[in-house]
Amino acid sequence: MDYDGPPECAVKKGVRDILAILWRHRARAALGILCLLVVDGAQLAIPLVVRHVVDGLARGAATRGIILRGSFLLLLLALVIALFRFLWRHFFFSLARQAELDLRNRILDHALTLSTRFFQRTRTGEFLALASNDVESVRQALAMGFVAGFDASVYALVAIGAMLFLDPVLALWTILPLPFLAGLMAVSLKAIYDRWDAVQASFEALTEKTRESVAGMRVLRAYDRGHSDLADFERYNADVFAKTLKYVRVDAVFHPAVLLLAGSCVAILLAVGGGRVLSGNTSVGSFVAFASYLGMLTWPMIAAGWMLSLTQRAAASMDRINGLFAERDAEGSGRPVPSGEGRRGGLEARGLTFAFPGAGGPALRDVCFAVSPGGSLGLVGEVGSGKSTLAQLLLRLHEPPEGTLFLDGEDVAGLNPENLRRAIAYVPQEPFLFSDTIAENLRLGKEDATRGEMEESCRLSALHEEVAAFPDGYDTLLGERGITLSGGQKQRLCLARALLKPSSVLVLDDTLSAVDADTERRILAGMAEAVRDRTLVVVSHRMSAVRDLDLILVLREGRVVQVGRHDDLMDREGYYRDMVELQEMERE
Amino acid sequence: MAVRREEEKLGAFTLVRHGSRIMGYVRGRAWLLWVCMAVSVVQAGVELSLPLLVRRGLDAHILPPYAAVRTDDEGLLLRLRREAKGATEEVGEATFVEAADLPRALSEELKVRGLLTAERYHRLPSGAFVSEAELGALDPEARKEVLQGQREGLLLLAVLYAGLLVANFFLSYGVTYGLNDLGQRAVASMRRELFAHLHRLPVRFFDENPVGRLVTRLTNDTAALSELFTSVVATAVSDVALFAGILAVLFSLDAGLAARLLLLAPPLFLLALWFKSRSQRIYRELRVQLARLNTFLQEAVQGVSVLKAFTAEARASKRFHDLGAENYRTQMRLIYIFAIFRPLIDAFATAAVALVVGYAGLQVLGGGASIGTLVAFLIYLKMLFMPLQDLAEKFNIIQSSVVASERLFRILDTPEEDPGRGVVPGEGGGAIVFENVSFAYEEGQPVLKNVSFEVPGGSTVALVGPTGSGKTTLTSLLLRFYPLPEGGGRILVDDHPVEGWDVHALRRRFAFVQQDLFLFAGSLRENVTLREEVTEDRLNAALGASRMGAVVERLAGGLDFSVNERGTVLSQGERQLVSFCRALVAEPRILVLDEATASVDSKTESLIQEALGELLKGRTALVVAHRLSTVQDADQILVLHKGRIAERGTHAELLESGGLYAHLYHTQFASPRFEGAEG
Repeated sequence: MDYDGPPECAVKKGVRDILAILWRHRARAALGILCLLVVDGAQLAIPLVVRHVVDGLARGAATRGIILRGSFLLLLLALVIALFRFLWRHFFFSLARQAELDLRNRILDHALTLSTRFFQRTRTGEFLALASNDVESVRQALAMGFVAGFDASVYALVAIGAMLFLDPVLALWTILPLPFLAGLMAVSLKAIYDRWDAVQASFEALTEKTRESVAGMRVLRAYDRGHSDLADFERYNADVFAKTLKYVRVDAVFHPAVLLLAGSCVAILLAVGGGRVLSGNTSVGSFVAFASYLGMLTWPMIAAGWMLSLTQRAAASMDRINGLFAERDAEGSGRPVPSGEGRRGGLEARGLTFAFPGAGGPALRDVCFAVSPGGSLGLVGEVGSGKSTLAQLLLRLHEPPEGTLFLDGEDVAGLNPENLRRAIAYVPQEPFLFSDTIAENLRLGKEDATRGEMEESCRLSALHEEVAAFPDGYDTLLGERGITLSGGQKQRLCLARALLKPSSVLVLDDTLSAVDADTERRILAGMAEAVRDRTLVVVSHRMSAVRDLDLILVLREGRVVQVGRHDDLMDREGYYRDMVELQEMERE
Repeated sequence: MAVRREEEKLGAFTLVRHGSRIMGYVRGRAWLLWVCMAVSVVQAGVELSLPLLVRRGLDAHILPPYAAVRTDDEGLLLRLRREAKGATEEVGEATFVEAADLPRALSEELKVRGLLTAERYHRLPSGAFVSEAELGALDPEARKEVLQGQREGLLLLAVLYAGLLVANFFLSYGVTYGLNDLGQRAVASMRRELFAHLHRLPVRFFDENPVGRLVTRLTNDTAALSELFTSVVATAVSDVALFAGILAVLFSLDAGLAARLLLLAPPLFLLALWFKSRSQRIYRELRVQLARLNTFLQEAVQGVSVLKAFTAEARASKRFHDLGAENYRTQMRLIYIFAIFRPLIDAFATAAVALVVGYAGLQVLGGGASIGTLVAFLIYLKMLFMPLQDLAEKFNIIQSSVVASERLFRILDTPEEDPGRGVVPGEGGGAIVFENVSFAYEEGQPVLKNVSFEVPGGSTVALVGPTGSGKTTLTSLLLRFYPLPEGGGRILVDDHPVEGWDVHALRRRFAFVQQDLFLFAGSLRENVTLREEVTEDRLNAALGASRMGAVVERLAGGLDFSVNERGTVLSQGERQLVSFCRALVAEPRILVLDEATASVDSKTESLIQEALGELLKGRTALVVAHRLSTVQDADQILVLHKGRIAERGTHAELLESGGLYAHLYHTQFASPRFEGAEG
C-alpha cells in the first residue's frame, strides 16, 4: 500500500517529538517506570500467594500458619501497591502536566514573535484549538498512553512468562487466541480511524452549517427561508447520524471482541488445563493461578488498543503544533532606534504607496507629509480611505516599503519594530482591553506606573471620576467575570493607557468616536497641554478633533486630496469645509 | 457553603425534572431502550455465570467428583436422595454423591454433623468408589477410563463456556449498537428541534447571544446528552444489576464470608465521600482557571496588535506562564487526590482478597468451605469492584449532562417570535405607512421618535441621514424583526398592520437587501435562490436585470461556482450584485434596500447603478441610500436625524432649502467635486 507511506512517516515524526519530551523529563520518567515495575511485580505476586495457599489446601498440607501468613502477605502487598501506585501516578502525571504547561507556553511565545500577517490569516478558533485540544491530546499520550503501553507490556510479559514457567504446554495452549486479537486490532484500527475521521468531518460540517445559519439569520428571516434552511440542516444532521453509527458498527466490535478472545483463553484452560490436572501434569494450584493470569491479560489487550489510539491522535496533534513552530513569518528585524535623547518624534512620508498582500489595489497611494518633532497631524476622510492603515504603518504593524516612511529621518522599514513601538504610543480604533483589572490594563502603557500616574492619565481622558465611582476603583475587574464598560469608557481607558506610556509620538486612531462631541473637545483641549512636547497624530471622522492641529490631510481612496491647516482648508471648497459645516449643523 | 449545597440539590432536582423531557426524544423507540436495559441485565447474568463454570469444572471434574456421606439416619438419606440432583449410590455404610450436586444447605448440615467426609472419591466403571490415592494404585488402563469421563465433562463445560462467550459477544455488541442508535437519534432530533426553534426565535435573541455560544449549544451540548444514553442509562442499570448479582452470589456461596466482606464497605464509602468533596472543589477551581487561561489566550491573539504596539509581548508571555503555573499547581493537587484515591480503592480490593484467603482458607481447613468456593470468591471479588468504579465515573457524565440539558432547555423554552394574527391579504399595491412610530432597543434610549411617512404603492422613498440616526432600525421594524411596543405607533403594509399579518406572508412580500452582504457557503445558484426551486427563466431574467450575468460568465463553473461564506473571492461590488440578484429572484412586491457603503471600482459602480434601476422598476421601494442616483431619482427623500424625520421632499426641493440634506449631499455624494478642487 504505497499511498500509506507519507502519513505514516508524519505520524512517526510526531511520535518522535513526543518521545523527545519524555526524554527531556527522563529522571521523572525513569522514577515513574521504576515505581510502576514495583507495582506490577507486587500485583503479579498476588496470584502466586493465592496459589500457594490453595495448593496447600488441596494437598491437605495447609496449616493455620500458612493461611494466615498468606493473608498477611496479601495485605502487605496491598499497601506496597498503593504506595508505589501513588508514586508512579505522581511522577508520570506531573511530568505530563509539566509538558503540557511547557508546550502551551511555547505556543504562545512563538506566536507572539510572528507578524500580524499570521494573525490575519489564522482564525482565532484554530489557534485556540491548537493550544487546548492538541496540547491536551499530547498530554494524554504522555500521561496515559505510554504508561498504559508500558504497564500492559509488563503485565503481558510477566503473565505469559509466569504461565510458561508453571506449565509451558498449557501456556502455549491458552494464549493461542492472542494472535487473533493482534490480527483483529490491525484490521479494525484502520477502519476505526477512517470512520472516526469521517465522523469528525461531518460534525465539523454540521458546526459550520449551524454557525452560518445563525450568522445569516437576518437574511434567512428576511426571505422567510426557515423551512428550506431546516431541510438543508437536516441533511447535515442526518449525515452526522449516519457517519456516527457507521463508526459505532466497527468500534462496538472492539470491546466485546477483546472480552470474547480473553474469555476463550479461559475456555481453553478449562478443557486443556483441566485435562492436564487430571493426568497429573499440572497441579490444581497452577490451574487456579492460570485463571488469574489470564484475567490479568484482559487489561493489556484493552490497553494496547487504547495506547495505539492515544499515541496516534497525539502524534497528529504534535504535527499540527509543529506546524505552528515551523511558522517563520516572524516580524522583520532592523536597526535599533536611537533611544532617549535621540528620539524626537519627527515624522515624514515620501511617496508612500502601500498595498495589503493579496489585495486588489493599494490602500495608500503616493502619500507625502512631514511633521516636525512636537508637531501634530490630523487625518480625515471617508471610511476605507486609508487613515488607519497609515497610522498602523507608523508602528510597523504592517510593513511599509523601504524609503517611504521616516521617524526622525530614519527609515521605519529599517528600524527594529520593538524599539520603534517603544517610541510611539498608540490608541487603536477598536478599543481593545484585556479581561483584567483597570489598573492592569493601564500598566500595559507603563509597567511600573504608580497609582498617581494612573489617576493623572485618567483625569486627562475624563475617566477618573467614573473609575473612582466603581466599588473597586482601579482594581475593578473588566470582562466576562467583571464589569462591562460602555463603548465611550473603553475608548477613554485606551486613551489613558496610551497617555501613560512615555513616548515621543502619540497616535490616536479615531479614539473618541463613541464619546459625544463636547466631551471629546474637552478631552482634547485638556490633553493638548500634557502632550505638548510629543508629536501627535489624530485620525478622526470629526472635524472638530483635528481643527487645531498643525497639518490636516484629507484622504480619499488612499490618496491625499486636500492638505493644509484648518483655516486654509476652510477657505477652499471641498470635503473638509463641507464636513465641518455638516457636523456643525448636526450638532444643533 | 450553603449556596453550593443549594446548587447541588438543584442539579439532582434538575435531572429528575428534565429526565422525562430527555426521554421524550427517544419516544417511538422506547422499546429499544427497554430491550437494551433487559439485555444488559441478561448480559450481566452471563458474565456472572462464567466464573461459576470454572468453579464447577474445578469441583466436579478436576478434583475427584464424589463425596461420601456416612450415616444410617434414614430421614437424612431420604432427603439426600431427593435433593441431590445427581444419583446417589450406597456402597456399604457410605452413600456417595456428586459433590457439585449437593445443595448447599444440606452439605453445610452434613459437615457440621461430621457426616460428610473431607476426602473425595472417583467412581470406577465397576461401580466401586476409590480415593485419589487408591486410583493411583490401579493399573493405567482402568485409571484412564475413569478420568475419561471427567475429561468429557470438562470439554462439555469448555464448550458451554465458549458458547456463553459468543452469546455475550453478540449481546454486548447489540446493546452498544442499540444504545448508540438511540442516543444519536435522540441527539439528532434534539438538534433538529433546536435548529427549528432558532428559526422561530425573535431577532432580538440573536442580538443578545453571540453566534459561537449558540453553535456550541447546538453541537457540543447536545453531544453531551447523547452520552447519557450510551454510557449511563442502560449501562448503569447493568452495573447495578451486576453489583447486586455478585453480592447475591457471594452471599449464597458463603454468607458468613460475604457479610465480613461488607465490613469493608463503610471505610470505602467514607473514602469516596472524601474524594468527592475534595475533587469537586478542585474541579471548580480548575474550571475558573482554565476559563481564565483560554480567555487570556484568545485576547492575546485578538489583541495582538495592541500587545505589539505596547511592546508587551514579554509581559503577556510572563502573565500567561503565571496563569499556566497556577493551573499546574491546582492540577497537581488534583493528581495527589487521585493518586491517593485510586490506589486506595485498589488496596481495598486486595485487602478483600487477603480477607477471603485468610478467612475462607481457615474455613476450608476446618471443612466448612470448598476450595471451589474460595476460588469463585476470588474471581467474583475482582468483578465486584469494576461496576463500583464504573458507577463513580458515570456520576461525572450525569453531572455534565444535567448542565448541558439545563442550557438546552433554556433555549427551547425561550418564547418564539409572535407569528402574527395570520392575516394574508391578497396581492396589493405594496403601500407602506408609518404612523407615529417610536421605538427603543433599550428603555430610555429611543432610536426612533414619532416617525410618520407614507410610501404609495410603486413609488421609491429614500432614507438618508448620519450614522446612528435610525435608518436600519426603521427597515427592521417594517419586516417585524422587532415588535412595536404598545403605544409605539402603527406600521401598515397594504393597509394591514404588520402585527396582523402572518409573519411569513409578510416577509415573502418583501425583498430585503441588507447592508451586511452575507453570502452562504455553497454555489452562486444556492446563494441567489436561497435553495428554493426557481425556474430557469426566472433565474435568467434576474441574472440579466441584476447585471450578474457578466460576473457569472467570468467565474469557473458559472452559477455552480462555489463561494465561501466571507465571499473573499468575490469583490464587495460583486457581492452587492449577488444580493440584488437574490432580491430579484424573490420577485417581491416591495423592496427594502440598505445599500452597502464600501467603495467599489468604477466599472462595478456603473453596473450597480444599472442594476439598481432595474431593481426599482415597478416596485414599492424603501431605500437607505448611499448612492447619488438612487437619492436623486427617489419620489421622496426622508432625512432622518437622531430618530426624527428632520427634512422631507424631493432632491431638488431639499437642495434648494439648503438644510442638512444639502450638506450631506455635498460631502457624501458629490465626491468628484473635491477632487476637482484639489487639482
